[in-house]
Amino acid sequence: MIAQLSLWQGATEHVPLPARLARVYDLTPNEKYFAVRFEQPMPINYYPGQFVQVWVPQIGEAPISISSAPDGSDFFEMAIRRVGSVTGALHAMREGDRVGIRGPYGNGFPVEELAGNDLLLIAGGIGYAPLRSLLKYALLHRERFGRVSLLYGARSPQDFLFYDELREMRRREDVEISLTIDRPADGWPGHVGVVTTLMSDMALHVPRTYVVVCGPPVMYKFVLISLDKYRLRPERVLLSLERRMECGVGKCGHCQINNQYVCKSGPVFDFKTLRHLPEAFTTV
Amino acid sequence: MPLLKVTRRQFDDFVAAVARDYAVYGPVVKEEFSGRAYHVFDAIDDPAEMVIYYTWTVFSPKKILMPQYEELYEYTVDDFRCTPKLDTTPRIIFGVHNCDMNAVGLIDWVFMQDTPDSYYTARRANTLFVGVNCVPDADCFCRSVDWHEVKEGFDLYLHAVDDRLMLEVRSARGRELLDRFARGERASEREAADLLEEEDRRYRERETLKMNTAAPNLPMLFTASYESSVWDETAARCVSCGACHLVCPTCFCFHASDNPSEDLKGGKVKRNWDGCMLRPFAEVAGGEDFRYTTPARLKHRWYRKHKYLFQRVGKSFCVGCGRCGRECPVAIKPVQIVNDLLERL
Repeated sequence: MIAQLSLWQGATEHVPLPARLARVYDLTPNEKYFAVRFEQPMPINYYPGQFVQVWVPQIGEAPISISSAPDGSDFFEMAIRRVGSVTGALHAMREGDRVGIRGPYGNGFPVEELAGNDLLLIAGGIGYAPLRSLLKYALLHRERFGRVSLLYGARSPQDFLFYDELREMRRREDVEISLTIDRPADGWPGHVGVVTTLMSDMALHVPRTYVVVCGPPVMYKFVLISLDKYRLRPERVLLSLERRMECGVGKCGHCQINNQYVCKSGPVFDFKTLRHLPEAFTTV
Repeated sequence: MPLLKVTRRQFDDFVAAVARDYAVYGPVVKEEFSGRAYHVFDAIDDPAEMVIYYTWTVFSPKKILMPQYEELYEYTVDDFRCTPKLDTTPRIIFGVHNCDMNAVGLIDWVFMQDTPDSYYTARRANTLFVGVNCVPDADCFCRSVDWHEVKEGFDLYLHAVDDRLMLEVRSARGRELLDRFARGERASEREAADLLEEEDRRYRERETLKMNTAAPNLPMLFTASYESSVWDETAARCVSCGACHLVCPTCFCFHASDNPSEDLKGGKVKRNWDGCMLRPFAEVAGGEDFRYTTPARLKHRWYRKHKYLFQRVGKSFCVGCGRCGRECPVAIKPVQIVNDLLERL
């Protein structure tokens, strides 16, 4: 895994940097897009798969995945589901409103290690938010990667994040996008079934493939079972995990899986590490 | 380094003298209840209030270095200004037992390496510790976890046997303090040796080895015991009240919260002690709880102490102070858990 970048200039381990919502729009009935720009202009470096702590004054902080890839622009993007008090407040905010940002935190995807390989991204629901950062990165640096494909499952057609962008991408020759919805819906001409049903007739060049998975907790187990027949080396299966995170710097304790701090050693883990952690895939 | 023989009066004068430059804390009697005294660390106004012989305090000195509620920063909404407040008050904490000093060393490791915590570091760098030998009870087990001796941390140490008191220098800062403020008489080698021997004899008489295995075996025991029936059986009594981590000197997990001011023009972001025995500790916004059951939480807490953190620092993260066992409303005893695991291996 790659080393952690130093924190964005000016932020201490608990004090956020002021930023403004540069653009906000609806992605789905429950999820919104947010582009964020710091008030003090600065180069924004991060790894795909890292996350930030977003602070709404008088409400609190929430850990949110970065959905964009670092491309030299002065903002970064997030896809946020309205699910708690902070995300609820964010959904009520408008372009130009201020938030605080701490980060970037976590290890992110090991892009140097992934270079030269095929990428199979498997996303479920809001799990596409961090995977989009890797997909965008791979497309920005297209020559560094082999085959790039995305399998993405959502509950219904209107639940896909960045649906228009995905449709655009489907026209490209150099990336394969497969979408599926859980149950049949009017006007949906595509695949129906959970995301693992897209994997049944999938041909992989196993020795040079990395599989990268992010979705709801229940999804991982089924994806891993479906991947079993390919006999991928466990270090070639990467999973980005969700946990409660408060400090982001490996102190507050909330995000631990057995002996691992997800905010420091994760959120991206390879299966070689996770298969020895009984708490990784259970919600007991 | 010779010990300095002091009378209680001279010791109190020393405390009063350092109080001019430092905020002084020490063990005092909080209240008497059911015929016994409850001790706590508190600010010392009158040195005579300070208790030298005691078994345990409700909270360890952790509460001074990492207050239960602590402001991280104050903010104003209009200009979005965030002002962190670091506490650099010079402090001296008297009357600290070896287990509690070692616990501070472990918390130092947590908060002062690998993204150091500014708030803790500011307090810790300005805090001196004066140790005192202890009066163990049946719940103490520092020898079992090999934390009965302090290698580093103390600045001074008060050896106390009945009315014989001797101060020992343990650091350069302690030396300076003693030279500046303490009056007493240099103890002869014989006097010092007699006192230390009697101190040790009394300690060993009370503090017997209670765990049925040596401390270095704990990670191995825990590796072998993940599926042990001990967890479900012990957790069946647990009421998840969190008293164990509330009084634990090495529990350091916290929760941050936003506290708007009454005029809503700003507020304070604070953190407070939190712990993995409380049900929502690992719950995420979507409602998934990654440690929903009591056995899972109880197990996690003890794997942290005796395996996960043990393997990172090379010793148990439990210092054997016995507080969790004393405060547990259903008498879950830390030594018993280990001995039960051993029995069912």
